[in-house]
Amino acid sequence: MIAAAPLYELRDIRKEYVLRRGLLERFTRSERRIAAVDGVSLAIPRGEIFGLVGESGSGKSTLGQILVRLIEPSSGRLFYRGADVAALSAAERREFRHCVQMVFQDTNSSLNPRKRIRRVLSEALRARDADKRQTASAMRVEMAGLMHQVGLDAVLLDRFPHELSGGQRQRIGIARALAMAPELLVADEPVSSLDVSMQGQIVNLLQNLNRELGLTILLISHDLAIVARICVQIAVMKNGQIVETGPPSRVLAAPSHPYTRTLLDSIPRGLHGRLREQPRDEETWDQSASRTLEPELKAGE
Amino acid sequence: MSEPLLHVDGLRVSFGARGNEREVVRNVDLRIERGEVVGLVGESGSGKSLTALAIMQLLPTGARASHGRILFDGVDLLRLPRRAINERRGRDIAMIFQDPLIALNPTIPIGRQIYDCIRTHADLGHRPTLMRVEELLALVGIAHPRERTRAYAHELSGGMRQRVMTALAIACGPKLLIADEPTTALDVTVQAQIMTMLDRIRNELGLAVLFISHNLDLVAEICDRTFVMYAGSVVESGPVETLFAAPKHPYTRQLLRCIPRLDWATGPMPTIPGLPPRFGELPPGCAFAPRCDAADARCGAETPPVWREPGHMAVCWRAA
Repeated sequence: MIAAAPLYELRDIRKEYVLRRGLLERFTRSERRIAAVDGVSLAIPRGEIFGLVGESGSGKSTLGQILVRLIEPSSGRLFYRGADVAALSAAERREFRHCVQMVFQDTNSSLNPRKRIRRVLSEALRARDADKRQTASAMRVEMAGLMHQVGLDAVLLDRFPHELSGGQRQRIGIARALAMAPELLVADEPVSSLDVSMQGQIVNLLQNLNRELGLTILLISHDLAIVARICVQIAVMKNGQIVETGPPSRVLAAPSHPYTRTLLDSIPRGLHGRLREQPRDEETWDQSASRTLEPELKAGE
Repeated sequence: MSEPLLHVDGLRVSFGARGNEREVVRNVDLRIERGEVVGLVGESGSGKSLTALAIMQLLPTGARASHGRILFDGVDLLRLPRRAINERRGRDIAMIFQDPLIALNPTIPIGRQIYDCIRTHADLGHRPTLMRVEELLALVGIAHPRERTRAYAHELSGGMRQRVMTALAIACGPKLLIADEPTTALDVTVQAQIMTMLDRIRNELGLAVLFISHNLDLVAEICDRTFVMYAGSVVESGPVETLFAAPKHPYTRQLLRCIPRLDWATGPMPTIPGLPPRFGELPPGCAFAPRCDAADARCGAETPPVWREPGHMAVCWRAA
């Protein structure tokens, strides 16, 4: 079975950062490099919700930023709709920027606190309409439409970000991305800073946008339960590499990589995950302590 | 019944000038026994953090505990002079916060911060204090504690910082540890490690813990009992087993349903529609009625009664 051509394809993407430490290394000009993304190849099919899973430091956010070209990869090639992204003409590059949009985790820092929501959205609409052909009234209609699309009342347009709840702010972040009429939405931990009661609303919104607009979504998350629920395929990332990929029913039901297993075991399980059953008996204590309390080392050590 | 370690009795916290106050914590009662681990659950804005800060006497400027008592070991903390509060804070009650990068001093090595804390509260010499710092770091699961004492907060990972803050909090042997969303900023795998660490020090030191979170699944892993707060009030409390098996308040039930779980379900995720009321804009009747899936006309008009069974209470018209 051959799948249709992917919307976005990554071939052997690397992103290295240079670490400089100490006088000696500065004089000898020897460099230590660390690969945040270490040879990732990935194909994101059109119209799907694709999940990218891993811990902080695994390189998943770096990869997301490479996809929207917020940062440039050190090596490797990106193909969007089959065309090499590095070789796009100026006009094509502008179109690419419109087609690939990002939603950020922290709505406190991704929305300007001094701008009303109306301004946030109108700036996005103006950026799309480079020829300035859209009239002010058409823009107003479109803004109301965007608010409706993300499930918000248009009266919120006159509010500042701090006057909205975390969930409402995240909806604005999504509306701003939708203003560019994108094909691909890169959502980097869109719900991890929200209350559990609000997470579902945003997840459902993403799912609706995927279904109704045919929007392709790359969902970057460490929450396996959410990813398993809405993604067609997932890729598990660790230390800059993809260690496992496939449909969630296979990857999460029968993980082949120990790291996927660790992630699964870390999900809070309520009463089934009770830590309090441990007896105070000294001997059992030491054993259980050595098993579960491995000292944690900082990444890179 | 013996006196509880902590008894919060009818606590009200309000913002604004006298006469024009907005209550954000409304008539909260909490009891924590010695060595008990108690959860405090609610959405952001429910007043759970402000309740904790009132217990610590660390309310932000503009907020004050306007009514009620906070009895710790039988002494009302709200009536103590400032000097006496400073002595108790850290020695009797300590707190760990969501973001250790803000709570730890970035310009002082972590070992020195713990050292200073011990020397402030305890009559211990230089060498024994140094030893104690290393013991504490080892207790919270930090490898090579001696080398680590010289590290700065920014040199540590998020999980290690949270361990250091816990070491700092337990340095003077408090009887109560308040943990306010200690794992929210962390990855799931690190979260699991921190939960294990908290449970371990709880067991080893016989601490009472007030564990604050918005995730009931996490609370259930470590707590005996849980209080559920909504819009500044406790709406249900009871043993976690009971709350999971037979929640009496629709808010608890709906919160439990929202937690993302790996259950292979598809389709839309369950949610609680709408938003919690804004501060000082409480709807009439039950504050949760506009979002409740079981509310009727009475819920939106009359204040609900308190339903009680031994060890279990709920404030709902439909609890009985």
